[in-house]
Amino acid sequence: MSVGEERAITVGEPAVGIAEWYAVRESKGLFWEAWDRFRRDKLALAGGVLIILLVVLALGASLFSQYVTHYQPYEQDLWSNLKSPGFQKAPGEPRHWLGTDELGRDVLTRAIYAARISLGVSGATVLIALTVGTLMGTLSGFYGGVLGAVIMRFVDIMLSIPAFFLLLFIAVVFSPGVVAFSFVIASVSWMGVSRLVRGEFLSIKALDYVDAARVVGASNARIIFRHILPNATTPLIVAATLMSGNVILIETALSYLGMGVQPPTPSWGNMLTKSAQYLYKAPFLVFIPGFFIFITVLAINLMGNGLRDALDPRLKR
Amino acid sequence: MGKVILRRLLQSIPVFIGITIISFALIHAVPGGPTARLELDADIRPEDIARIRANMGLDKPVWQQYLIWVGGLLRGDLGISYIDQRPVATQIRERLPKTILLTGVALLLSIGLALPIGVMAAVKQYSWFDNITTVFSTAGISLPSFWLGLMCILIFAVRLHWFPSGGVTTIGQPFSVPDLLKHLVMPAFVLATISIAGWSRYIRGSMLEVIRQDYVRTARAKGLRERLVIVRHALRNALIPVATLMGLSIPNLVGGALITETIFSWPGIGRLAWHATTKRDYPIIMGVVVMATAMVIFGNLAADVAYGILDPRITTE
Repeated sequence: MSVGEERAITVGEPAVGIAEWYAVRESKGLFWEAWDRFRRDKLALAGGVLIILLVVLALGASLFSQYVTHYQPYEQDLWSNLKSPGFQKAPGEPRHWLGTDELGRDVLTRAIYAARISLGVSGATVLIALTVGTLMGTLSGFYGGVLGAVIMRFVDIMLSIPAFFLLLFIAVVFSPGVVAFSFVIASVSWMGVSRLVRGEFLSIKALDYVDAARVVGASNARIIFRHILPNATTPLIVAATLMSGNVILIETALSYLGMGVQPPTPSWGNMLTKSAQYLYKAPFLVFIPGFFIFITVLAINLMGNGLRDALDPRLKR
Repeated sequence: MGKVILRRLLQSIPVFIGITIISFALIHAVPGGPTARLELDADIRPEDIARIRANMGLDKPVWQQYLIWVGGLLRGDLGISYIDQRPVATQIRERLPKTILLTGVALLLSIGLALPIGVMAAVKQYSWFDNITTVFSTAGISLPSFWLGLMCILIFAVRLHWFPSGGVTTIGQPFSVPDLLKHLVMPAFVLATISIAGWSRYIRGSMLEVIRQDYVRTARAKGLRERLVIVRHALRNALIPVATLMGLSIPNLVGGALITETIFSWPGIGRLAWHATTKRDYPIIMGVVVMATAMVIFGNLAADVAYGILDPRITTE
């Protein structure tokens, strides 16, 4: 006998028990439950806050450079090059809070603009990879058969090409601009997404409510969009978050090698390229851009872990 | 077993040929070429450029160039580099052992450390060891490898003078193994750290899955010592996906150290291939492709064999 039943049997008393019972049982919905769980993970929360902060800074980069640092990212000052953090050219001049690089440009300003580039490329790449991957995965998972097999074969072939070399090759040969760069990186990242989506489709297709929807006469499109895809979004969100961290690492690595974002456009990677030779004289120049990369990717990974634990507690450990 | 290996080797020959054809076509299809820079120079006469191209064999149709190259390959001649006129085979022979040394040592370090760390973290789940491992591995996979390398140089070479900052040996001194080891420590450490961070999580996850299985519980119920349960029953099965991971890492032995080689001035294959790609040195590129493909095929084969040994349920067809 549950609580509600006991109460209901007592004569004359209102059925508060039943209402309480239902109130306790009532779920707040996937989003709010997940948010509660996410909130409890301190590290993930910290990561999320940091990312939001970085995105805000990146979006407002020009405002930041105008009102906070008072320096432009391309503004050179060859007399004040390689100065340590906190350098002030003369009293009254704005301080270089993170120092200057080899051409006298303010490091902090460039770092924020570089955040814009890196986060932008990462976001665009993830968007493209998600779109293509979901499309391929849906086609392959839902329709199955020959089409599905062909698509999966294609995915396998693409996966067997070592991604970094393909990227390097394309970057060396075609020297893509920032936008094209996102497409390039996305072209080696969509495969994981498609596998994931296909897996979700295969497992959800077998469930009863899909059959029920068909019996009621739902069209294919309705089944895909209203029933299957919403349930597949959970692992997709986690995968997308973790992917964006990896994309930042890839983009900065290629920029470091000189094959990604080209100077003078600042990227955390290419800020490191020239600075290696100043390891003795200006070590902060090596530390700072790399540290930005590390912190950003760490925050993304922590947030991704938190999301994964929050959205599906079954996956936890 | 021997028959299976032979059959797999024979099956990989058409794959090998296919890859060489695709690579050759791709390299020749992209714009630019070894004489691209010369063509921009106003002082060179077109006849001279044509003569240079003829010397390189570039005036013939692509398929003919391919067949000439294959003919050389079958005789063991990989051609002559466009850039420094030295035989490709010699250059590869000089550089490959150095890369293998670096990546091999890093791989051994990675496996040697990631396995115990992952296993211990799984066995002692939620302990302080597990928590610290998780933190370090999340941080480790967020580290950009080039930044880690530069920071190591900064701290250990520039500030502490413990290790040399680059190269394979100290110039001017006769070759000695301790000297080589001193040069090897930092690049190998950088490579290993990131691998360990990634693999220890994977191993931990795999081990956790295995420990929850019924047969492990049976072994414990039988009264076996815990150590025996872990090592003989759980570990062996947890290693199966790990073996796949190792097999997939074998291609990395050749090219995965490109960034590290650049930072530490390590004269390896990665750098050779990259310079060749930048300068469109076709013979070297093809030589590296041949060698890399061979290694990938061999690596996959080795992984499958190891898989078959570890899991008696799998019968190699």
